[in-house]
Amino acid sequence: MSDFIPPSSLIETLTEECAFDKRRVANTDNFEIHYLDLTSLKLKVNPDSTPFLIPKRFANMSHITAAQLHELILVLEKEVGSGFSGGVLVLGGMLQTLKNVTQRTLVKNKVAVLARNQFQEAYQSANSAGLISALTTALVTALGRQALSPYHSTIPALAGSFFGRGPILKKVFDIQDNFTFVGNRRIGKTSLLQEIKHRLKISGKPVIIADLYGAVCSSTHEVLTQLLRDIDPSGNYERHSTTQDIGHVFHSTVARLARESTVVVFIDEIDKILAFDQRQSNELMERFRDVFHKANNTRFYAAGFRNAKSLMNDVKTPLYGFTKILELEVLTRAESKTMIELPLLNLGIDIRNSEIVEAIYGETAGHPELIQMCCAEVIRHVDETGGIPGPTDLLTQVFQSGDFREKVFGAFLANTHAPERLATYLLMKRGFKLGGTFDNFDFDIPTIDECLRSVGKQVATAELYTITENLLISGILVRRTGSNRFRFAIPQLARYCQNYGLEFMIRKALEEIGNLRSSWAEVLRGEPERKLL
Amino acid sequence: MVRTHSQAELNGAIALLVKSLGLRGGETLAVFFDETSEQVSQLISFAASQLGILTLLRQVSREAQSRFLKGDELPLEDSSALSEALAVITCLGDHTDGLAYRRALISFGTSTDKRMAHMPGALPEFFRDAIDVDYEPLIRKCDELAIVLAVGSEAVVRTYIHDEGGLPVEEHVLRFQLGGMKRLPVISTGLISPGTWGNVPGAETFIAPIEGTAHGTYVVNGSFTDCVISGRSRILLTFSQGNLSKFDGTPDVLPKFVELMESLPRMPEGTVLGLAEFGIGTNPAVQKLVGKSLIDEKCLGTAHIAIGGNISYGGKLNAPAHEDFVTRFPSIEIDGKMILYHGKDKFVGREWRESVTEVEVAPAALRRNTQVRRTFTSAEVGDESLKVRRIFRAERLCSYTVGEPSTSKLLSRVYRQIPNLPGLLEVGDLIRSTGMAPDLLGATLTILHRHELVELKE
Repeated sequence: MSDFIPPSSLIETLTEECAFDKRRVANTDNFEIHYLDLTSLKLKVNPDSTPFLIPKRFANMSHITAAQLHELILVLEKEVGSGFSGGVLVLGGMLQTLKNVTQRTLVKNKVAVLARNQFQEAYQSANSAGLISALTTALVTALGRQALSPYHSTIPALAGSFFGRGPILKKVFDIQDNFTFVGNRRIGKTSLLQEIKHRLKISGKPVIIADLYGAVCSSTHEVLTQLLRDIDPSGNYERHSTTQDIGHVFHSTVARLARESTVVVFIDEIDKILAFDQRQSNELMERFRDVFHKANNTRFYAAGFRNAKSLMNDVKTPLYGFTKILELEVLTRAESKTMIELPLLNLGIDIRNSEIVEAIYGETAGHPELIQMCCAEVIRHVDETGGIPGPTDLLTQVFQSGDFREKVFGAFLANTHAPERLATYLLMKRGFKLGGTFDNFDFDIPTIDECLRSVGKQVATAELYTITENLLISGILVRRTGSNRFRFAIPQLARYCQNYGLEFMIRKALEEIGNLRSSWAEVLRGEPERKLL
Repeated sequence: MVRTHSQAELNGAIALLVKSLGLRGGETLAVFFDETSEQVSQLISFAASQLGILTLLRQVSREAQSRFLKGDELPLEDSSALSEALAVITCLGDHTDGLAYRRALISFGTSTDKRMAHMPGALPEFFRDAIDVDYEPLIRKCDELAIVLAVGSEAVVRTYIHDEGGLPVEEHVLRFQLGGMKRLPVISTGLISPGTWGNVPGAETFIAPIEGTAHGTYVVNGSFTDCVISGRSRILLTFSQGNLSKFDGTPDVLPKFVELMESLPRMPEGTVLGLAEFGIGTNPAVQKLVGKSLIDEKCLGTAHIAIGGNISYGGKLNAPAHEDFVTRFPSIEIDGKMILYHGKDKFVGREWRESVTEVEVAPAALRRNTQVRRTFTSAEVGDESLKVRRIFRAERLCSYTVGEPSTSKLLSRVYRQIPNLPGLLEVGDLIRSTGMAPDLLGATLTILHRHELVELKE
């Protein structure tokens, strides 16, 4: 074995053994740069690619001193410039232990160093797990766990931070059709749209993308103008003052561009658009249907709540049959497990043999945002104490955080009417009476009826269905597929309520109902701002 | 060919749907079967139609199963059927080359919250007696064995060579470690909770022994795959450092055993077949062994061990095979206490279930300012008893009653007073809210702590 491993050979091994796609190669005066896609690490890395820098001047050096490395970083700073957002420096030789100042410079420039000391053993045995471990250790040393953590609930997740939804993505890319993704709030619809967009962008095929956030639009003209600005920024759309005009322009522009590229429209939060469009006899959706339905080289992807689903399934509207509806549920147990285990492992936190995974899944029931919160807490704990938390400590920390409580309990209060809350508390009471293990407690509409009757509330069938539907939309309940049974989406909600005192909560809900000035039917028809869960 | 089913078989199939899987009219069931189990699928399908249950039938040929490799993705038709159903029955053949496929079905199903009845190698005859049974005593027996295997540390399994008259003439001893709360047993009662899988017919409690600890010999005098053993015939397995190191047997059954061992998938280089499972059957309705582990290992009065993989129920052995070996009339001692003697039940509750009057109270449980909080371990809190209930490794259930009857009632009462996470309170608060004497409360907290249901923080 020579005392030098050519860095380019290591990069080839990384692409072959670890399946990191090589996007391109570039050259500067001092560096050969290979851009690799590291998103399969499931860390927050550049969604397109990460530069692996091979310093030309160290091409055949078997040992590199700290001083030489320091000098190299200064060259890198100068050469790659201010737009540089971090990368991996690959050294084929051994690297001397670094001085603090060099270490700080590396961290400042977000440069991870992968030297022969770290990867030699795994490289020689072509051990992909070992190579990944060497790489992730270098990344964690340079950037820190927090910077690499994919668990951020405030921004849509894509690429390395995107988890699950395999079957949905398979359908989207296998079936050439338009799709509407429906599901509860915070279930990951926006992230799914972002991920599809990202995959289209990196597919290498010509694609034109228009992106719209539906909740801020209030007219057909506004929607089409905004989309046109994305599709063809060169156009002057202000001169088309009528809806009809802009409609024609939209149609002809999409048709023209679709001859060369695939034109894809993304509309997130489509519900508000559907609401105003219903009042204008679905004028806008008629237009979309004309443009996108069974048209070559065009795609229409939208996301909305379950209300969107009912409208899209209504045979009396032009929406019917226009898009395929795909429902987003919570993540499956296997998807949740991957979301928990893989990024943490790559951040140097191996919890595969601990009970944490099952504890997190059990308490979040696969809700991606809540999983993010639990995993973020694991990282915080490890950074702070150096050790992995026990499952009970972890859950205690998470459950007492204001954020978690707000997302579970606060959202429940904000997004439900008093009759729905009463039904929920009574179901919880029943669940506790049956042993309090909510994973196997399921119920149907007659059970809800029974619960309400037990406190003297006789409710019409239609209202029972509305209560159930509203609780489903709010993400409080989930339906067990293949049946008309339901279960609580997140067991911790019941425990928060029990800790506050279920009898008290029931009494308060009954008081609120007693104070209602409208009938239950009217109350339940009202649309609370269902903003969370 | 359509076979006519007997009323007893139909009753068994109905019990499978209603009792084991908790299905009702209008709900959806998916059934996976192959050319070896067409009659079983017809029986289930007929029973389902009687109950108004919608059945999605998926026939997957044995060849297609054997082509499926570990890590492959299930075909869309399979995943769709699994996704659309509330419950799933897999009654495919029990051939080893279908193991990866069967595991993938289970993994997908449990991952999506289904109730999964797993019946590899099922035959219509299995439905006659063993499924439509009184589950109450069977669950009680599984519960008793679960606490033994959960808290026990060392197992001594004595198995016998019998003479023609059935009298034991030679004893063999196999010893191994159980973990003493570090590893939990699985109860397979035949009643299946959402997100878990279990065999039907059910009725066994089993555990993955601690790797590397098995030492000694074990007589297979009951059955193994496709072979029922009787009289003086036997296979003798020798274990050393947890692994199967040698096997021998009488000439009438040894060739079949050799054939079985040779049919097992090739193990990765450097790995050997280790002791993967130790289980005890509790189903009184299984009257005779038939050479199918699905049913034989449930037989009351028998025990079984398995070699191969055990990752899915808490072990560390990752192997592409799993073979069970059933023995009749064994004697089993856990931590020196007899629980089965020549196949006869010897469980004594007070030896395993704590009493508040006898437990040595932890000092922390007596201090008024000790903080008490629940743990992530879930408990089933009844009016009369308290049960530990843990789903682990994503799909298997461990559940057992804590404490002898009057103690269990007390444990339940105290546990109710302790708030859910993240809440906690002090021992002093608990004394006030329960009105119990400090010593008595201390004893209950000690027991709850021992079973990892509460934490005591000083």
